[in-house]
Amino acid sequence: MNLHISLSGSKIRFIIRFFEVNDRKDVKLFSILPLMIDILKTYDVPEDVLDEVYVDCLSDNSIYNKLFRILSDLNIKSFQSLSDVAKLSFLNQGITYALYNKNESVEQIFPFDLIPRILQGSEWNTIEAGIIQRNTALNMFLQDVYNEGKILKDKVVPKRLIKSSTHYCKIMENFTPAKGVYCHISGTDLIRHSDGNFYVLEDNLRSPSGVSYVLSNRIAMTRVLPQAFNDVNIEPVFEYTDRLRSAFWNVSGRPLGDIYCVLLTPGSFNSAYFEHTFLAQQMGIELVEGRDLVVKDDFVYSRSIGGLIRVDVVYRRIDDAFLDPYVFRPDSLLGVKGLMGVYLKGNVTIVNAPGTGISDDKAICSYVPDMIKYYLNEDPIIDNVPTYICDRPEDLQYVKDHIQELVVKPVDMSGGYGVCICDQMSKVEIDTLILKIEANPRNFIAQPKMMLSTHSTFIEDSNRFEPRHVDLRTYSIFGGEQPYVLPGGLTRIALTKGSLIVNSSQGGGSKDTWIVN
Amino acid sequence: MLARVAENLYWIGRHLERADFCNRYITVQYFTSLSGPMTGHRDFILRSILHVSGTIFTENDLLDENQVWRTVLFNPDNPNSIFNSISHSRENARSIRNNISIELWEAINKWFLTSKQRSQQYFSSSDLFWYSEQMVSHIALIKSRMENTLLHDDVWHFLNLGILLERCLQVLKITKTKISDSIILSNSGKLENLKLFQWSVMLRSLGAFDAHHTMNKSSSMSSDTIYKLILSNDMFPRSINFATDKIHKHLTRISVQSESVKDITAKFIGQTESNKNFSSYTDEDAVISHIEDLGNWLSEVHEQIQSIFFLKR
Repeated sequence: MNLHISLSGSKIRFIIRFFEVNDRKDVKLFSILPLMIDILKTYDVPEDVLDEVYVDCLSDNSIYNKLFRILSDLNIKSFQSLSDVAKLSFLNQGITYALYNKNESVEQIFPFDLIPRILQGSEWNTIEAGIIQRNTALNMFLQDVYNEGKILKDKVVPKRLIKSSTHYCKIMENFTPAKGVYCHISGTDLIRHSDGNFYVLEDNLRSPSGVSYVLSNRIAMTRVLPQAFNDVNIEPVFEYTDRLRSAFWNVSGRPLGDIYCVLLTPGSFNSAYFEHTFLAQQMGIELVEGRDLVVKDDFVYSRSIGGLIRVDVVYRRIDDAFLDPYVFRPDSLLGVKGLMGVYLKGNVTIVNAPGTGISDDKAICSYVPDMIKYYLNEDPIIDNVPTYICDRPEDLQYVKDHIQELVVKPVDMSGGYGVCICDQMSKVEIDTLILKIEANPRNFIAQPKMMLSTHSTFIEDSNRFEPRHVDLRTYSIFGGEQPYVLPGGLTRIALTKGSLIVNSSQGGGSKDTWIVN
Repeated sequence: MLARVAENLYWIGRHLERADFCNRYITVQYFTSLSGPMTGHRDFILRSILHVSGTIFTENDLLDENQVWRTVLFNPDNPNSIFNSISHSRENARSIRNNISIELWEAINKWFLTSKQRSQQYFSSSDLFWYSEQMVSHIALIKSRMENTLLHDDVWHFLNLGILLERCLQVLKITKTKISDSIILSNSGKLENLKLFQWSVMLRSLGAFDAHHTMNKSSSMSSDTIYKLILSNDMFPRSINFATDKIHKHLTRISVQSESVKDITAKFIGQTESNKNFSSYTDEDAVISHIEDLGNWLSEVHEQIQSIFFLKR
């Protein structure tokens, strides 16, 4: 059953509350109406789901009310025009990602919604602390498992789970990267459940992507809705690239002025190529492909028009498997022959360190709260989504018995691929899935179906605002003077009605995320 | 600067200039054929367009105008179509976009998006003028942003090297083609008016018509006035002399001046002097032979640039 809102019941309360709030602030009602009316028209909030806009508007200190007041001149038609302007701006700037089909890769604009997601500063402070706590523990965990292995010996995390992870990197054993930093950049995915709390859905410690969209979305918002930025105190996001470059300098171990950093991209056909160019440009570092680098006498060099230039930091945006054909996949054309040898001699820093992917393994991710307790002696500030590890016999039995209530995921895939939302599957599909899990239980985890919060989103097909599920990818940087979390992060939207999959490769879009003080 | 980046910049320039020349040639050829002495030679003009745009065809092919536009303007399978030049220019820019200004990248990207959109629409001869005008505006914007939003450092030098080298090769190609066209059309000199007309078409195809008339206010158009302007003038940007002089300047200002760079620039001076000293403008055979020599020399220059700067592998 849906709470269909047709200007009755709670919706009337919502509108009355909205007008009361605005009356008190002496705002003319008629000038407020157009966009609000358009947003409220047939706005269906599904039962048992927290709609962030709807709930906020019921409160006395609603921040969305303030936003709608600012947008009081707009009606749905003018909103559509602004949305088109934003899209054209993305297209002309080439802010796109590549979507692969059978024959070719097609450049797509990452769909962008103009209604921002707004979080209060106080709420953000808690998230920020939780992200720093979690990634501090993860860095300590990586240092530990590749060296002493204390957490494994103390049986807090099962050794078998680590050593069987496809991302475990044996060559990293007994090696600690510069300043002990493994994950210089982390992408922590959060969801907000119907209880109002944020939970960690997964960690991305290899090459988390999407931060360029955060920065581009903000630029687009300032161009399209400048008045909002005049009237609301929104945390800026543009410090991110300066912070990242400072972290590179700090971990390079070389004097400032001599440091040469490069961003290693698979090339212009990669789906995240826009991001690679954007970050290289913003940081003023060289964007290189594997063929631009060469190893000579235990150092890495770039091939310039005047000869070879020593490289100190490689911010790689390619997977471990392709980094160095001498060590990983021998058929890799994307990496650099001998790079790992140079790295293990301490003559170059690789960001993020190889082998960090073990923490992306969804089975290992479920142990992060235990890691926080083990290394920091603290309770986790942000909880994990409860996870059943199919490799544990008791969990496997539970998963089989309750599979229709669960979401089953492969432990080593990202981008929403392989996710099975079981209550949307047929019996035949579920039986096949169980067979797959039984054949290789290590490869699967299951989680209860978490109802991601929804947010008002402009849907072009219906030409109206509708609630859509959202998550939040946060970005943190370690290795600089202080850990840094980008204020807000990337709010991803599942644009298909009812869908919980927010990934761009599967029909997702994004919103600007405002931290408002 | 990375060797790969230098190479990409160079090819952005080459494809940009190629598209510019091809666009101008097609428009001038087609519209000048609709009136005046070329009326009735439509197939000849279409073949000339196919030839200069590098498209393979046979003399017996039946020529349909709309089909010719599709082939030379948009056909993605034709490596010499304007759309392919634009795509290559944009792909090269995309590969190194962190090395150029955002303004320049956006101008190149918009050029590509416009062309792509056009390529997906119905196109007939009545669309040709507006299409061409759009291309001219985009190219002008790109060149303006190259001049005004980039540091005039190695990035700018390699872009300009590509533009200028391609310019020289296109000027030589068009000149040679038009000499050949005029010989055929004039029936070995019997139809003098067609020959004169072809000369004016050649000047317009090179954007040199106004410059020629400004320089030769008191003398009529002749092989002497035309070839002097196209080959030896040092004030006209599309003359070989002017462009090779610029190439020399860019080469000497690249931040890396190895012995091989010094060698190539030294040889350059000798070649440009020899071009300046050429004087047999009234002898068509001598002009053709000189054009061929210049073409061979510039192809060598391209190979030297490639081996000195790009092949650091």
